[in-house]
Amino acid sequence: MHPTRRLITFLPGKWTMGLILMGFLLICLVLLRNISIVENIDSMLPDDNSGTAENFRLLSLSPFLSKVLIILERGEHKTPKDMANAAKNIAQAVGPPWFKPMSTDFQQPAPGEAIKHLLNILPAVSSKQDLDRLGGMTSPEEVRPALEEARRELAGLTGLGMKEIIRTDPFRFRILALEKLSHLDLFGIETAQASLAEGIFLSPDEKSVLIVLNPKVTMTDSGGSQVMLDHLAQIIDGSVPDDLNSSILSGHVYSAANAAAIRKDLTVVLTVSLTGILLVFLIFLRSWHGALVYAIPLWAVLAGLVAVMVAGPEVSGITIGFGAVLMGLSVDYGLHVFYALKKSTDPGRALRRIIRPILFCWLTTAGVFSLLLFSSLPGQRQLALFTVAGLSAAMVLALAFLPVFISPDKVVSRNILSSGLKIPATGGRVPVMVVFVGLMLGAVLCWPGVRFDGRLQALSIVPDDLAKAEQLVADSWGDVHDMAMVFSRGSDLDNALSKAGDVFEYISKNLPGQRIISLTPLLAPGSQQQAAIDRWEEFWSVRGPGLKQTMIKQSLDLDFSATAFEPFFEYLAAKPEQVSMDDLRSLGLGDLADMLIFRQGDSTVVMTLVPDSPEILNLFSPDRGVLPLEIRDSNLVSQKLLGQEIATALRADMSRFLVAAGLLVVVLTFMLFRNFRQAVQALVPAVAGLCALVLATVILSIEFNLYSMAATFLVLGLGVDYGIFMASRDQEPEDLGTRKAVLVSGLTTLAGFGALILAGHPALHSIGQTVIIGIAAAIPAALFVVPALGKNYA
Amino acid sequence: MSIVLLGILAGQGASGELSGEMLERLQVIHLQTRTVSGSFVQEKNLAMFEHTLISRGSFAVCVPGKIHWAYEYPAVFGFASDGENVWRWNEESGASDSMPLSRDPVLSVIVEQMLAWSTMDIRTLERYFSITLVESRPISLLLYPKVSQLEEIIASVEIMFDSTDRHISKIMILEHDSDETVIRFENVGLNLKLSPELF
Repeated sequence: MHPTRRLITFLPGKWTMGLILMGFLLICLVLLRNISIVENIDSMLPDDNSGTAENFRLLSLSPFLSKVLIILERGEHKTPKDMANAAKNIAQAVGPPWFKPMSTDFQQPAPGEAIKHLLNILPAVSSKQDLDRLGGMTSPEEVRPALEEARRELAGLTGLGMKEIIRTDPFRFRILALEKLSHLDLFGIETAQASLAEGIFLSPDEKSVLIVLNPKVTMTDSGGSQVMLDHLAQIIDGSVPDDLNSSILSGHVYSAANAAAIRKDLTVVLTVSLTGILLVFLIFLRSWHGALVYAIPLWAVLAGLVAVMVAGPEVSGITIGFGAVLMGLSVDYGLHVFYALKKSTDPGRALRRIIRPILFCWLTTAGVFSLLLFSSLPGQRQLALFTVAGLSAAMVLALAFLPVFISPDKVVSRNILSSGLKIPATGGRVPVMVVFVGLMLGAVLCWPGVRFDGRLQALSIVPDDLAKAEQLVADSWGDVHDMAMVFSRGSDLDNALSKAGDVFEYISKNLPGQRIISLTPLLAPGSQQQAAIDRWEEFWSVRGPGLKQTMIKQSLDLDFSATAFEPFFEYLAAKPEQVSMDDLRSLGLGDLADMLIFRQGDSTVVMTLVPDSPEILNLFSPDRGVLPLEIRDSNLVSQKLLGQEIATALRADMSRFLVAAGLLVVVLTFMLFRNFRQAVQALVPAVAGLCALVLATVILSIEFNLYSMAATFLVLGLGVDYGIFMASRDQEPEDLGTRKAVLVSGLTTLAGFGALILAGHPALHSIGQTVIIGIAAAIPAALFVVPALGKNYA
Repeated sequence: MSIVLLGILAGQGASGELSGEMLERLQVIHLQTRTVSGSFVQEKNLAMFEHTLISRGSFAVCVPGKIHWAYEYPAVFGFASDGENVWRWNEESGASDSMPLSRDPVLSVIVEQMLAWSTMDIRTLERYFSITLVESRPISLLLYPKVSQLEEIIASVEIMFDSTDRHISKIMILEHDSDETVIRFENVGLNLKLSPELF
């Protein structure tokens, strides 16, 4: 007995099958109770051991990028003080569980106090070059001009506030300290002077205030982000008067907006997709057996979800969105079984004839998608697992379960609508081939114009409010968000600071004058600080006495009293101390310093921000040859470059996958047919789909992104499916309704994908767009070009 | 009734808290002052110096927020602000620079106070000082800082009006270490048209 006939004979009855299906359904539902749908872009970021993946991990850990920034703007009727009060109200109101509490006790030190703090940290952070500068500033010939300037300043009104500063620092050593402080000027606003309280900064034009909040929710937790943002909106409503504008800038806004968009899309997509499929059903299959065919995708989705859940508890919202697509895809096997059983008088023979093309179709599509299991993107791996599991379930259901429920005597089309719909005749071979060859030629010509967009932004929604807030921050607070970051990792803070210090020196030496945001000019490792203190003490022990003598003489000439500069002499003679984070906090710089330090596992990482310019990137480029030893342990992460790196890496990945998938499809097709003509016929719809994609993306200026590339696999897989069935048709002595099955399955897929094109989320939208273009070309190619290439074409 | 009236009239000539009527008078002076200009003599008695530092110069103030303060003797230097930016010059060193006023915390306090003192902006003064009336004719006020920003620098400020009570004639600033600054205003013109170039 033929194995297929044995299989049919072996299959249990309807009731047993029904019970098995119900049991499977129950198991799925129990398993899916614990499903956790994540709506973030983590799944779109590489997670392998590549440098790009490591750079992403560092970026996601960076405290600097994880802050929530609130910007308050005032109109003409409000004063800077109103803004400051509103900002302090917000600072008072934020706290657990969403934010780390902010200290509202902090008072920005008075200018005189701040200068004294800065002067006190100078000995521990002065380099040899700094001491040379101080030596020049205090040389005998500079003493008199400095004292004359001090006298003039004291005689003026500003002398009122500057008196103690001048007594302690008549030579303006503070300029040196302020230069070092400027390396912590994250927002380009002379932060030390603009800080109103801990984490609250006033813009130079006093028209806006920036509040830096420390959220306890991670940026990738979209659910938590939304609740946190709602809570924050309430706080802002209660703290900010109506005539102050407020904006929030944070990755959390981004996560929440994308999650909301995906949620909304899922509802729309699933509804429209189901409606579309229902329409196809009503037109072509309106029967109880047809309903069984359309039940298969539902089981397929369940099987896909269970497979993904077994691999890991979190399922990406994008993967679920793709479920709608899978519904259209997995209906194909059932449709072919349905039409074959409907057309044939011998169900066993009909099933036997289609079992081989169905198995090969499953093998090619699942094989193509299984290649994505090797992708570096967890989202794509999840999609692959989902699709392969879903298609496998659909194939088993179509071949093993469906025939049991569809007995041939009852497969009678009662569909008046579809009986009226005739698929057009295949037409002349020449015009059909001309169109097909024209399509291929067009694709070849357009190929150089295909563009790939690797930006993560291309896969996500940027809400208008967020874009506005980004612009606002860029305008009023500098471009710090666009700077490149150098991550220096060490076993402890001192070790990390030492490496960050090397980075600072390396860039300063090779590209002097660049804006570098670094902690190390103010907070060097302990050993370096001690060396600086020793140097300082030795320097002033030699120069101090002579300087004092000269100053006393000159100051008396200028009518200063003998004790006028006693605080300065005391400063030089004092025993310096090392700088600690507490010292930076007392200067109001604690928050800024905290933004540049974080832990990664057992390591401490110190960040340095540098301009994202070609010159800087070139300094860290491996193309320069062997990088200096001192910076080899530090990673430069350029946000611009990272996008390019992703684009390059993924383009290479996808190209490899596509070539591998193409080869796999060709090999399997030739294995199935063992006949060159039929194998070529089977490949025609896939080729047509890919060519149409190339042509349309160039003509419509659509850029490929990560998800449209993934969807290309779908076009390839589905195209080959159609081709295999149509090419197999030539071998059949009787019509098994293949053309209709291909048409209906194609229309069902289009209905499923048509819904995706309505999605507002760029990732889902691009999947829909790609597949619609590809499948819209693959269907006519299957229906018209494949027969035109057949031996028996009449 | 007459005893109450006598009490009120007596209170008007004595030192103490500002009465409502005095506040109103000061507010009227402020509202009637659009510009003030003239010259000044400044004496500084600082412990840092053996002798008093005497300077002369000219000033101009225009409501709202504009000030020109120029020392002409013994050195030529000064500052001017249009309310947003401040321009400083020093003829001897040749230095001249302009920057947002908010970026110079010391000067921004001084500019704000000089504007308030010279135009008798009583609302602003009340925010920063506890104000005591020393004399009512001519008006003389004693100001004690109540915000830390000023408390750290100034112990008190005494503001005296001229005999017509229309503009200030003298400011005495006392610091905690007994250093003292006295500014006498001369040839004061009220509400004159001032050249915009001054600011």
